[in-house]
Amino acid sequence: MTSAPSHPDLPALLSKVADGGLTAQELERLEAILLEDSSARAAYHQQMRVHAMLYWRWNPKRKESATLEPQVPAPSFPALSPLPSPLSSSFVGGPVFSYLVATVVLCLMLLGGWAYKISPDYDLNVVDNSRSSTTSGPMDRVYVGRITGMKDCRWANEETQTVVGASVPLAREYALISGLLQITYKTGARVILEGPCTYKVDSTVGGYLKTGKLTARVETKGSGFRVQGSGHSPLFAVCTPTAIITDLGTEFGVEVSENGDTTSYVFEGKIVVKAGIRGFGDSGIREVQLGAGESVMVGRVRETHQDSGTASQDMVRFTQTATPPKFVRRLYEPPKQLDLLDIVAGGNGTGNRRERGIDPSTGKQDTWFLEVNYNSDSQYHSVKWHSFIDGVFIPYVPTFRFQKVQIDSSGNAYDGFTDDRDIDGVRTTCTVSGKTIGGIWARAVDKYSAKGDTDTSGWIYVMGKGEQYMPSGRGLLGMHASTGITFDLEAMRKTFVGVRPASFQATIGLGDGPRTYPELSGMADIWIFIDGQLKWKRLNFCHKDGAAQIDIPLKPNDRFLTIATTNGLNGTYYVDWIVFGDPVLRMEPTTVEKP
Amino acid sequence: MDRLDPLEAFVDRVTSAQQGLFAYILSLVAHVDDAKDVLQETNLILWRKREEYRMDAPFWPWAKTIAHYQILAFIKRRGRDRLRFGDLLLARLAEDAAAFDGQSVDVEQTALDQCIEELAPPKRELIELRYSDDIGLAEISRKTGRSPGAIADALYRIRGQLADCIRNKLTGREEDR
Repeated sequence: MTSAPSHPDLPALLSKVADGGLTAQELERLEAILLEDSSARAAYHQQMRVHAMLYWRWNPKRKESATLEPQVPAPSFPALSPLPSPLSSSFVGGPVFSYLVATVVLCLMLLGGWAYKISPDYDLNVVDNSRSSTTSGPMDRVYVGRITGMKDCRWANEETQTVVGASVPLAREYALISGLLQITYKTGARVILEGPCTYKVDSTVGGYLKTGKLTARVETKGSGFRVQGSGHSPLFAVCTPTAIITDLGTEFGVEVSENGDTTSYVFEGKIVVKAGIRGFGDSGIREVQLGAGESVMVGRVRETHQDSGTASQDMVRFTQTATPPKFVRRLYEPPKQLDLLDIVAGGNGTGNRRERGIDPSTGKQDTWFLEVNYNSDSQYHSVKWHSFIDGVFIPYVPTFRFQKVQIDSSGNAYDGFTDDRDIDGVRTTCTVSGKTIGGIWARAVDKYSAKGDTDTSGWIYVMGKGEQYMPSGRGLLGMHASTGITFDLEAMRKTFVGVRPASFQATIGLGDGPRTYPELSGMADIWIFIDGQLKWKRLNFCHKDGAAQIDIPLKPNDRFLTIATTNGLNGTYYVDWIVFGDPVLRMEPTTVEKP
Repeated sequence: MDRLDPLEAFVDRVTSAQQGLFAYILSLVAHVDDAKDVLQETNLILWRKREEYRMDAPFWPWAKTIAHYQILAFIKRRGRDRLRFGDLLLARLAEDAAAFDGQSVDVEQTALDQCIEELAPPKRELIELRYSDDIGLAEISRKTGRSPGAIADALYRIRGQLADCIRNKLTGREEDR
């Protein structure tokens, strides 16, 4: 390998040339090195030559996928590939043929250029069972699926390591010391290996579990489970040293102990367990069919007389298991943050739902942004349709009957929304309106793509793009004064085991844009409570205050997070277009606690 | 009977030179997308100038010269709209590449196929992610949980290993003769 030891940063720079990410400064540095050092240029040429060959090795296949059948062997350059020859020999070589060749070549050259630019991604995933022997790689390697998940994997040796997204070729072996590895076959079968475990992919529809545990879930893509005799797809099967477990639809677990004993358990559907010593033919084979909740162990039986050491004496027997092993059925990756826009729009915080909201006067879901007035009825409204949202409310002027505003379902209440404030040395009472406009709304980043060209007349759209409030490009939580929403942090902790909300982060702002009464200016207060205790507030917030970052820490046992807006000191709730940009709950492992 | 029509022979030579031309162009423009654009333009010029080419002359030097001019025209046309090498370095790299033999790329490609097969599975899968799946560093980093810098370093080393392997195979092949 060519090296240039005098420039320790050269490898990183050359890699960035090939793989992207070179900054202007780095380019300048690389140019200086390459200009002065011929050995560095040799290293550059070497990297780029291999880079070009690697790109070329796979690229023609991607390119041709737009125009050729995938089964057709790949010529090196489709625009100039040899012409098909149904033509008669007298025609070939004639002037008409030459003209045709010239025309076709030129057209294909141009079309080849188009194919470069517009060809869709080549999807290696789409090779069905019936073509399981079809090659997917340039060297006739058969790929049966992909690695679709990993968790805390420790490998028995370097040779068996892999990464998420990697293709899984036939004959590939995975040896885990610990952790979980998920393989998804092209047939739709999904296998979770649980370390310690050694598994070899020995067919397009199964594998050999030498030792350890796995869970297999067999689904057809799109429509339920595959059943025996469904025709085009062979049944998924796991082989072990003592048994063959064939899936008849749905989900099962297999554990192979160090001595080869195999325990099978069915979660859903049925399997057939065929017992037999691997490598000794079918003699003595027996089989049982198991249904959901059933388990069986296939174990070796060794005779105790003198010949017991010979292979022919190996036998197996079925044993009912008193307590089946525990299997991991899902590869769970706890979220690093929860998107509050997704939650407000009906999701669980890990998705990207938008353009839904909540009516703060009822707690019901809004599917359209209605720019109407909502008046407080002095009640806290539980949100029944979403476990992560405790409820909503509209802050109101305290009355004799309702002296405090209830802000969560546990009864916590607050009476400070209406208060006296100094303005130019004069004590002035700021009274909340008890009204809001348009509900609590999760707006998409691009209002036009979100709603098309219609129905964007509400304030949440009229306020403009609001880019300054969403640096992460997630979207806006619209909370026109005066309104409030309370999230249930405990429900989130229960759902996402192993992590907890550790802080609430957002960028707040007050939108401003073309409106009916330009002389009006918005001014609003923003309040954040945890379990009824005021943790943060910003009073008399205006558009000119720009965007403000908030990061409210949350403790492990905090139950409710309440966000509220009220009209500011100007006494009117008009144009109080408060938005929380990119609102998220940052999640932290529950085992890591801050002092 | 078996001799190709001149036009067919020309097409055959252009076809055979594609990979070498791509590698040559990429070594000077550095960006894959740019290299593909220049290769297209080079192909068009080769086609337009087909009458000027004498079939008994070596094809590769002629094609490489045309590709070189297309590279210069491309860089002049596109300016510094993205990070590119300056003129002086480009000239140096072109001097180095004067001996670039595009005709040997086919042989090297065969060796490369074998060398990829000999890579340890994790390395082979990383290369496949990068090139077969055409996934960028950031995405690979996200999938693997390793930093982009670590991935870039690994890819650099693997490419170096493949270069060594190709050289060894080709040297061994020559020694076998």
